[in-house]
Amino acid sequence: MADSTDQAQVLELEDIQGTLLRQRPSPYTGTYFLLRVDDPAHGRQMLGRLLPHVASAARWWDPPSRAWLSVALSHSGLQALGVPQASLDSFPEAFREGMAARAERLGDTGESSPEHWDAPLGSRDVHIAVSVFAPDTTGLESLLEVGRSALRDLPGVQMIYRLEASQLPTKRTHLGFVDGIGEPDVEGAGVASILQAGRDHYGYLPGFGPTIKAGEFVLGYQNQLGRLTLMPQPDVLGRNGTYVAYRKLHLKVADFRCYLKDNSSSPEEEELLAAKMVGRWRSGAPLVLAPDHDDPDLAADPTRANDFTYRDQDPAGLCCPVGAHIRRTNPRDSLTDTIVDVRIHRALRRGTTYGPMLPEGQLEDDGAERGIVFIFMGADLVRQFEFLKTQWANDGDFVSLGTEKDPVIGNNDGTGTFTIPRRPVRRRLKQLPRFAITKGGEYLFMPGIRALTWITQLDT
Amino acid sequence: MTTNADQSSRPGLKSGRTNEFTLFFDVKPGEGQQIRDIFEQPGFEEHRKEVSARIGTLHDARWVLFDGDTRLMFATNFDGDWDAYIDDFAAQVPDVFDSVLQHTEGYPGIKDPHIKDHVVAHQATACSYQRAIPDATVKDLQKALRVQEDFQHLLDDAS
Repeated sequence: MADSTDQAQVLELEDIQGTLLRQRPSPYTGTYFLLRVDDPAHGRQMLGRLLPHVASAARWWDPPSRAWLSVALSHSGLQALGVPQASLDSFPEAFREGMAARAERLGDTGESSPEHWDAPLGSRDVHIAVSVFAPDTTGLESLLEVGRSALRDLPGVQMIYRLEASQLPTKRTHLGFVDGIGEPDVEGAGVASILQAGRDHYGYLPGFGPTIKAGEFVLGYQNQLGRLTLMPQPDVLGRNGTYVAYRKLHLKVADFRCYLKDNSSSPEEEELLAAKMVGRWRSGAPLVLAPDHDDPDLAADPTRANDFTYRDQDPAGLCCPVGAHIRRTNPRDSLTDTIVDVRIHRALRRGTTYGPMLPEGQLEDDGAERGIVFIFMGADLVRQFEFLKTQWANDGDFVSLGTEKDPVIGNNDGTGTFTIPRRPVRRRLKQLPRFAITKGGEYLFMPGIRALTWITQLDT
Repeated sequence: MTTNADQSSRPGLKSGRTNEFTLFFDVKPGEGQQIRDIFEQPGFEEHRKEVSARIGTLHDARWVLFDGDTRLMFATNFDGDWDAYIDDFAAQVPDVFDSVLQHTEGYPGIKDPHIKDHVVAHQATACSYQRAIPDATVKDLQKALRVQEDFQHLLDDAS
């Protein structure tokens, strides 16, 4: 375990890609592009053209340009760009295999299995992922032009996929919730405090949990286990990089609304049930602090909206069910008496929404594609992302709930249950369907800026 | 070159929710008695119970010295995936494994980044594995016993 007296290491912010520490603006609009490299020299030339536009994390809380561009590479992409074999072999196995190969363990089965994914997601053709985000279409357009210029006269690089993602007018997810509230406080970055309280607030905010060693999220720094997370070689390639789990999740909004309605006797009860499943009301107010009614004022106050614990304030889950989404994915102090060290299973989330809203109140699916682009960033895909999926989202044994899964993002199949602790008798919902269908996903490596430069200078 | 490649498929058989897990180690020459002494230390049993309660997924565990104390077997049945929690073991209860396994050949320590590879290299998969109640985890069994106890109290009160 890391010694608390250890000196915080200074993050090389100018070498770390900005999106690692930077949350999307609100509102935001952006696009994800996937590229295939057929000619390594063309691929490196394209990267070289993008490089000056790749945003660094310097002044991440107050970016010099409010629009930014990020680049990440798959294992087959590193290969396609001519990265030497010894280096390719030095990446961890989960990344080398790719997300599609790990589908079964991740619960991406049935309707969510890779054979049903949107092409080319999950194939060896996905080499480079570029994301561009801005607060408005003008800012976005300037970056899109950068992208178009980078591809010009390079037939050896093909754009094979694009997905547009913009914030909904409600500024909430398709299921109707404010999200992105919990955020690990990365040592040396002050993420939690700055994000929640504005740019002039560097103090620590209550409820964000212990500060997490930077090495949990960026390669080249000490991690929570008191060592450097193993890095791909050579050093210049690994340092200041991180791993990304990119997932396109289709949300069955109409099914979610119908499920709430079918299991409630009034609109108020529907709202309570929705909150019980998530652990927060739609406004973001946490059930632990607002057990009976939504409390938008509480949700709007960053010093209070996240300031709660489970073990002391709600051990039996009478306010926030033990199996609720946010209690599973960030158990805070719930697991204090167990073997689990929650600090080594944290995630930076950089998700966005795609597709049009299903009109308020509509209970029939309109066939439109809509959902979230879930983005995990962290130094260890297995210990962080896969652990969260397999142990906490898609299983219940860790909190004595048997095989019960996360009611919102779990890989349910119509036979699932959701237990709501109550006195004198608990309530148990049945026949839970799967609301989030995986439409594709990729494991990517997001290198530091020096590493990208190193790749462009390869001459293989 | 240092790599962090790990093993692709987990060895060991599964029955329902539970896995068998058997490891064999070579004991460092003459250190068998030191291993036996660990289990005789005052307070060991209490510590073991406390750790086992925290882990919450081990049905049982045994250490066996054999071949004249030159070899050591560790055998257990546990719910879920051991490798998912290896770093938690290292962070929370490193002494549990290090105290014994430091007396075996080539043991790198539970905090070593390559500990998973070391474990898998010493694991032997069972030829056959069956459990009476394959779908009952330790947590399920503990819950069932609590319910049974309360139910009997209820009947006592009613009679």
